[in-house]
Amino acid sequence: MSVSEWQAQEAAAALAIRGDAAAFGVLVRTHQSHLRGFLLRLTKGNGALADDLAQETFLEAFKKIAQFSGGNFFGWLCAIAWSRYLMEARKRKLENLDDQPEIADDVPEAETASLIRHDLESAMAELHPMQRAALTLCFALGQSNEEAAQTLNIPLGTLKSHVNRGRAKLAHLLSDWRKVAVS
Amino acid sequence: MTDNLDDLLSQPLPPVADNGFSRQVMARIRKEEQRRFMVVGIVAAILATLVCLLVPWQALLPRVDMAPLLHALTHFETSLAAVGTPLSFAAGVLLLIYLYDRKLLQI
Repeated sequence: MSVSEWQAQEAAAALAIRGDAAAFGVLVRTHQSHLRGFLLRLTKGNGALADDLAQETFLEAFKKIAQFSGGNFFGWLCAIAWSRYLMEARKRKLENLDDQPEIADDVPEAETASLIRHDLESAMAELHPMQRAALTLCFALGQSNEEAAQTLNIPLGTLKSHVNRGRAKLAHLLSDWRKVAVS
Repeated sequence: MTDNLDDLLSQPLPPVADNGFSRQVMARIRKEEQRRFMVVGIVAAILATLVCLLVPWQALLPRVDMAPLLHALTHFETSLAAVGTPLSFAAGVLLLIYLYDRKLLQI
């Protein structure tokens, strides 16, 4: 994100804190794609559930906007989204949530565009939700380890452990599939 | 493999088209705001009514002569007729402002 984009976002967040719904609308339009992408990965491609969670996240963010103390607004949104996801997982029992089809039919076209990405998403679906979230935040969304630990509300060491274990399992799964494909 | 994997993981998430999502979110926020406004209004009205009913006004204001007020209240219809047209006009303006503010009226 460029400096001017960052400043515009800060200004919009400041206006939203003062109750400006239009400014909050700017923030929604700016962050909806990344937030829905993050939730889409957490829910293993369940677009409807991801969108429901994203809507709830934005609604909660608007209600609690006064609690936003400045800084990384998207990180703050991700923290709300993660807690919403956990609540939903508990409600549906985590097993059931994990039993969702790995790549649902309503995945956007871009998601299935490349086989490599498809393999990555399939392998991601095999991971524990915490590992999926940690890897997505640290790599695809470019958060620092500290930011990701704060977002997921876990100690830094635990985050690093999730990242390492998740990465090792992904490497293992992808190399296994490659061997099968070659043979 | 590890470098390749890190590159793969570092690819940005595929963009998700808005397709009216932001509009839906903002519509829900507006609805939520209206509901909150209504709840606050109802609670305030109930509290104000309770205060009016429960506070012993006569004990608190023993020296105030209530006769003119009581007279005005008991002859409200007569008073209203006396100021009829301007009052109706003012009430009409207030009603229109209220409807416009609540977005029930589009000008």
